[in-house]
Amino acid sequence: MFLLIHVRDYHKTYRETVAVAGLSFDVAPGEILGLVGPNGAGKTTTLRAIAGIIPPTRGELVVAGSDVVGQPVAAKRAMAYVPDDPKLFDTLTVWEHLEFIAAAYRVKGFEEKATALIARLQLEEKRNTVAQELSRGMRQKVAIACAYLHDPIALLFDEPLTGLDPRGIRTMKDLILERARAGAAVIISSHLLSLVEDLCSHILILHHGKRLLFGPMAEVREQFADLRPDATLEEVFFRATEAGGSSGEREDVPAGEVDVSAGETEAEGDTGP
Amino acid sequence: MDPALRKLLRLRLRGRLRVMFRGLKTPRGAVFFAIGAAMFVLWLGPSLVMAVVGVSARGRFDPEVVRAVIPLGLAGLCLLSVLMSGRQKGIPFTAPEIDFLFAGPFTRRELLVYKLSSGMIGTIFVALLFSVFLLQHATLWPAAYVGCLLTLLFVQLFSTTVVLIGQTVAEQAYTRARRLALLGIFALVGIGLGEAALAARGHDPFALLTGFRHSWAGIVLLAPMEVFGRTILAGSLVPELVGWGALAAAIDLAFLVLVLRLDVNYAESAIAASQRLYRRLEQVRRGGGLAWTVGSQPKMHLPGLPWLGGAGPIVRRQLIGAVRTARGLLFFLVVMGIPMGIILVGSRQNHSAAMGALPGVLIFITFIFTQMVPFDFRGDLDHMDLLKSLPLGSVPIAAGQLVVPTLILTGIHLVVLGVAAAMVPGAAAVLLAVAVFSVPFNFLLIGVENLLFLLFPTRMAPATPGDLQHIGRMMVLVAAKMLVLVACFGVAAALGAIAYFVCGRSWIAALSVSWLVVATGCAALVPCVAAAYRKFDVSVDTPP
Repeated sequence: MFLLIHVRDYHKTYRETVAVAGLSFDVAPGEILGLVGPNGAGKTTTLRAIAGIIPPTRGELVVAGSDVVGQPVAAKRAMAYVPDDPKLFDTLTVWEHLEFIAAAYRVKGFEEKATALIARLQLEEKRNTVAQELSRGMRQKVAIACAYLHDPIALLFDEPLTGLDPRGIRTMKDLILERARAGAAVIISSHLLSLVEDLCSHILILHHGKRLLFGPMAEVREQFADLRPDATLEEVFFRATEAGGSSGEREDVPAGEVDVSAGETEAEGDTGP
Repeated sequence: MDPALRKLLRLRLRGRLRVMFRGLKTPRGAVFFAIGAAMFVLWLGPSLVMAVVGVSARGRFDPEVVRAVIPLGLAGLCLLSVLMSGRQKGIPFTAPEIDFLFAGPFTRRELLVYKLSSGMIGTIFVALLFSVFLLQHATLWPAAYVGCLLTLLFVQLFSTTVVLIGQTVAEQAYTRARRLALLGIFALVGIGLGEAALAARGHDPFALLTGFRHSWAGIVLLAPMEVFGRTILAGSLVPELVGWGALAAAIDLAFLVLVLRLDVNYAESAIAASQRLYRRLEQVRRGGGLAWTVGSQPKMHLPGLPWLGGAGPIVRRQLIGAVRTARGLLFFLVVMGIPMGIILVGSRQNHSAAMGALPGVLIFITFIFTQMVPFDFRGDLDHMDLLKSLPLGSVPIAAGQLVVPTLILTGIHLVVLGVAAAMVPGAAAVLLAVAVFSVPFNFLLIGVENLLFLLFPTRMAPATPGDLQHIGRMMVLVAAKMLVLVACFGVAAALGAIAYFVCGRSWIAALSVSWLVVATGCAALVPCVAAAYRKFDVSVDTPP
């Protein structure tokens, strides 16, 4: 099975502080992985490492067949990263941001696509507005538009819904599902467990830089036999972090045993897995 | 460099120009722009006129003076780079550059070239300004411009090289090597200064510096810097400018090659440096003054203050901010105080000169520190919604906001006046009178600052460097402030003069009446500030 995002034994250390220790997981085409964990668990560090922004201390990070450390340009061409609270170039307009991204990712004839994205994200009135005049939610939408412009096959989102209005939230969810159905691999880091529950086919719970749980949503729930079958992700999360945080790692669902085709079938035509 | 990065540079330059000229569509914006442009011309004009009209031999600086100052100044900047390199551990990319470019399909080297090019574009304009100022000292404008450009590039490349070397070598080894290098440099400087001091005994400080420059230690240390000074002061296009300019360009090129060769993985340190810089810039823009000097876990806690009609909590909050940035404030006080102290001490033999210098010193310090003590509405621009949600009346809030900056400014004045009194004991009575007026004067000054700020809110720092509208707006506010202060003190002086004559030429009567008038003005100002605060609409009046 071709894995679009492959992380093996990823370690990140800052002097004596271990931010992430021995993290391994994979995301196949069509999968949407929810990356959750308490504050300081290492979620943003992990996303930034996959995006090639910060180097790993140790480990292997591969995106679309290219090593993020060894072949950074090739890896980055295939992916898009939307950080938490994205910072835009203050003096550039919305359109100019897209113009730059199109040039960076060699997107030919981007105007039509950019216009469509602007319309979809309700940015038409702000098309020629400089970024410093935009609200928080508008800036988020611009960052999302920039991420989608070059049709990436790997998408990384860090709190993608912060600042968005209800229409923006719905559009964002639809965009994520569309890209996953088109075969992209998506990782969403969020504290909004309801969002993760709605959208994600797989879940990875991080705690103190370590993998606590990883696998398809349904099978992760089954790890907690004492919980109701319809227990929410929130209940699973609290159970996992409160137990796993004190006593160490729980038993994970082996990633190699995940039936990707079953996960994709469930996702097709639904709003969630 | 990737074509996309070149495009980004073009787009950002265009964006900057767009923001600079954006307000021209409105009459107010056009007026502010015109005033800002006029200030700019006034700033540069004299240098241009003197250079174009021609300066007499007496008016032009001795080229030897300029030739001595430039290498010494450059050496000082390089030394500062090395000293600061222990703390400044990264090339400060901006936050948007981190978000877009680090995750974008660009190599490290491409991003480095982009960053250097971005700095160079700014340098082209800054060199233009510097060259205008140097016109009266240089023989040829092209030489002044080319020399300034190459000098500024050298400073940029040198500091980038130092940062990258610091990341190439292991930290401990780098710290040890840096200490050894600094030790060696200071030893050479010490030897050179010692030689110069012996030769220049009894002469002025400039003779000491010139002597250092001609000592063997000075020659060794300053040799690379001399090239830039000689480029600026080249007397002919060929062979001087071409020759010295080529040498200076070669030095810059060597550093550029070194920077690109080092090819260090600067990403993480750049992110950390960027985050620090972004936080500081945001704090300055929000009016936080020296908030960036506060440690993460401050140890000092102030006791509670009395209620004071609601002003007490406001005063306490601002006092905490002031106390926790005291270190930064003291640093600037020392930095400002040294040249002021030199002026005063230097004039101590001539009492009238010392007293003559004092008003200038006081005005300068007051002007500078008024902007550095925004422990009032100016520093609360992004907290106005919180203030307005408090169950406190507008008058106690307004009064409370004005107290802390007034106290700080008064403290600074008292220090300066104390030094002056020590230098000129005979003027103690006059200085005491000035000290007595310090409190109401500062309260009035801070009150007017806050009143105008609330009526015409603006960020402390412009969003874009070179924003002429921001300069114009600031000039209008300064003029308005001066007008109000002059009017108030004019009335106080007039009534004081009347009291002087009515009370049989009594200075005490005159000063008392004047003081009371100013104090009344202060009391009248508080409700005005309160009204402006009430009028301030957070949703409309908060600038971007």
